[in-house]
This record gives sequence, C-alpha cells and structure tokens, in this order.
Amino acid sequence: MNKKGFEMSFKWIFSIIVGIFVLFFAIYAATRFIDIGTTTISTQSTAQLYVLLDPLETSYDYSDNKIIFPVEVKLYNLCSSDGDFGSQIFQLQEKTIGDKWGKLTNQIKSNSKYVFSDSLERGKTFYVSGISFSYPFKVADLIILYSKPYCFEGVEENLRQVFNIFGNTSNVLLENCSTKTNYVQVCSGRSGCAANIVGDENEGYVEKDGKNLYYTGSLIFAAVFSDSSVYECQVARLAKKISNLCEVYKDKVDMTALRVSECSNDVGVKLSALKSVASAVAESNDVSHNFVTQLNDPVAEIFQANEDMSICKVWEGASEGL
Amino acid sequence: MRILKNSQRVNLNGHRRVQISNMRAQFKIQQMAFVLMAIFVFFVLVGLFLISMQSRNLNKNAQEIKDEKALKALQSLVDSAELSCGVGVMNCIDADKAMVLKESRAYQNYWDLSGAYLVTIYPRYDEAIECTSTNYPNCNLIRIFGEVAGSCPGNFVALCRKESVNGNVYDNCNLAKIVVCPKEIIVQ
Repeated sequence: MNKKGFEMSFKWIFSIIVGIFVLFFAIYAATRFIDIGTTTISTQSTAQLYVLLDPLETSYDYSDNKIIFPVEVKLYNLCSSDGDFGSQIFQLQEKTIGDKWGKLTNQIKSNSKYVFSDSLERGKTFYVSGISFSYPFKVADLIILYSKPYCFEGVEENLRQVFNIFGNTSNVLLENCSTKTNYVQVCSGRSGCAANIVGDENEGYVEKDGKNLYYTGSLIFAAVFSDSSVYECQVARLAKKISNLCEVYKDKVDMTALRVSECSNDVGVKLSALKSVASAVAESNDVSHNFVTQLNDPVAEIFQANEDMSICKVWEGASEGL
Repeated sequence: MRILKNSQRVNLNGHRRVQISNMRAQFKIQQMAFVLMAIFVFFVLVGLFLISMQSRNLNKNAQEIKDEKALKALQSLVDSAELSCGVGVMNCIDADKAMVLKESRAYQNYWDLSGAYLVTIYPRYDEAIECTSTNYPNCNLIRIFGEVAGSCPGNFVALCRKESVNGNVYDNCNLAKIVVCPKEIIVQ
C-alpha cells in the first residue's frame, strides 16, 4: 500500500509559527503606529484651532478670519457650564483614506473662549468672526464659527444693516443667495426658515428647531449662528463671567476709592446686586430667556450710573446694545 | 555469530547516523531561532527608533504650538475685559484691575496661560518690589496669576491708575512690560 502523505519537518513548522507571530506583530505595530500618528496630527489641528481663534479677541468691536483644513473635518463644539467660568471644548474628526472618518481627537479645553456654532460643524473651510459683547461693561468677545453660507435676503432692512458688519472673508450673503447652494436661510417675522428673527436689533429671540433663543445686543449674531444646546450653554457661561466681572469691578471701585476719595460711588452696591442675579441666571433652566428678562433692568441701571459719573468711570467705552 | 556481529555493526552505524542527523537538525533549528530572534530584535529596534523620532517631533510641535499660543494670547489678555483700560483703548492695562485679579481665586486658572506678570519699566526702580495690598502703588512688580518660568514672550503696555492732586482726578500712566508664559495644552 502506497500512502502518499505530506510530510513537514519540524524546522518548517517552527518557522511558519514564528513567522506568523512576527508578521502579525509587525502588522499590529504598523496599524497602531499609523493610528497614533493620525490622532496626533488631528489633536495638533484642534490645538492650533485655539491659536487661530486668539486674534479674534481684540479691543475692536469686530474682526474675522477663515480657517482652512487640508481635508474635510467634523468639528464638535462641546460646551460645559460647570465650574467658575464653564469651558469651551473642541473635538475633531478628519476624513481619512477611503473617504472614511478617522478617530475622534482628544478633547481640547479652554476657559476663556466663547465659540457659538452648531454642535457639529462639517467642512474644509470654517469662517470665524469675533464680535464684542458688552452688558453693561465688556464681557467677552463672542466667536461665531460656521461653515455653510448664511443667507439674510429675507430679513427686514434694519436687521440686514446689523448683519452688514460681516466682512469680505465671511460667508454671509445679504443678497443674491441663489449664487450659492446648500445655504442656511435666515428670515424675520415669518416661519419656514432655518432661523427666524422675532424682534429688533436690540432685543428679541430667534426661532430655531422649534426653540426660542433669546438675545440682547450682539448676542443676536450668536443666536442666529448656533444651535440651541450650544447657545444656552454659552449664555450660561456668559452669565457666570458677568458675575465674576462684577466682583472684579466692585473690588476695583473699593481699591480706587481708598486712594482717590473723589472716586467713591454707589456703583459697587449695584454691582453686588447684579452679581447675585447673574449667578442665579447661570444656574437656571431657561437660561437665555432669564438672561434677557432678569438682567436687563439691573444692567441698564448700572450702565446709567456709570455714564452719569463725569470722572472716575468704573469702565470706559462699552456701549449699551449694538 | 558473524551475521549477528554484522547486523550489530549496521545497527550501531545507523544509530550513529540518526544521532548525527538529529544533532544537525537541532543545530539548524537553533540557527533559525537565532536568525528569527535577530530579525525580531531588529524590527523592535527600528520601531523604537521611529517612536523616539516621532515623540521628538511631537514635543517640538507641542512646544511650537505653546509658544505661538502664548504670543497670540498675550494680545488677547491685554485687550481682555479683566485687564484693559476700556473698549477701544489699545495696549493699556488698568493697574487696579491687575491688583484685584492678583487676589482673585477664580481667575487663577481662567486663561490658557501658566502665568503672567507686569513690571514697571519707567519710572525706574533700583530693585524689584512686588506689589501687595499694603505697599501698592509704591511697587513695580505685579504677579497677576500663576507661575512664570522659562522663556516667555512680553509686550510693552501703558499701566494706568486713577490719582488725584488737589481734588483733580487724572490718569497716572507708567510704561510697563507684560510677560506671559504658555501653559500645557489641556488634552482630556
């Protein structure tokens, strides 16, 4: 009987087993290496995003810029209102080879930035504008971030003048919207638009996704360009900042009055009252509504008190409203 | 007897051949194991080299981002509501506000910077006198927040406070330098 069998020597079995092990180890190491490399580059991009946003925080009322990524990205705007000031958190996801989305980057956090956008912005080019917000003193520079074009053809003339502030580097269309595709339609006083402004340039609300985002002053820009979750969280953070700034200004008034008796005034008492209201608003449920309704009166009172002082103004230059 | 002796010789020779063949096979296995081990160690070393190169690049990039961030954050700090003399007033810091921030617990970790200080350049002081609530404004160094170490960018600013002479209130401004140090980028 001739039994033809496949005989394999030990050295072949040994080398195949070790070879498979080495090969798998090499493939695993290479995959991890590429993976870590991609995450590192994306995390660097997220960190650099903050660097690019810094110049928007200036002493000017308005500034704008354009951020272009080499590939399409998903930008997650995660806002947290926890802590003394809350925090701005960004996370990024880049498109990789084969049109697939890569891993989410690590979260990059900043306490001093207030970025208003949709929770998820997608694209290669992002438009950013920095707009000063005073209430009654300068509170912060609101950073508006968006990728899609915004069309303001359907808004009333007085509101259109307000949005005329956006410069050439922005993606805001006041007329001839049909030249662009996939734009966000903004209108005023009528439904059926992505964002409907109800009110004037000083106060009102923006209807978006069935929710009302209340605004005052330059918060109108923030309400139009961001979704409700981001807007409410950032407004809560602004309320916290007002509360902290009230304390700074109150201590400054006391310190100046100790040295210069002519500078003693009752603005400090009013600032203490505003601080308490702002703290309560920051912790409330319907933040943007409470922000406008509960803070407006004390803010107007303090603004007037500061204006009435001929010398020793507590703050200089901030204007009420837009 | 002779046949038996012959077969014994054959067996002995065969046994020796098997023994030699086994030894040669074992030697080859050992040789292959050593070669595979050497290849494995080689790839591990190459991997370690690449990782060290990448980590060196990563540290360099992180440092560049930190430096760039400090430089850009410097101007936004000067123009911030917490320090600036007012809206539209460029490169001017309110000294009273800086002193208030120095004492504020909440603001110690607010900015994305590890530390910031202000030093008066003119009028000149013979030595650095750190400002406290007791000696202010007769001092020339205000540590606004955090620790300042290493090479940190700075900028010249006007450091102003209210003063009065015979009931006339005026802005007393000195030439100062604000220095800020970058912070580690917070990655969660």
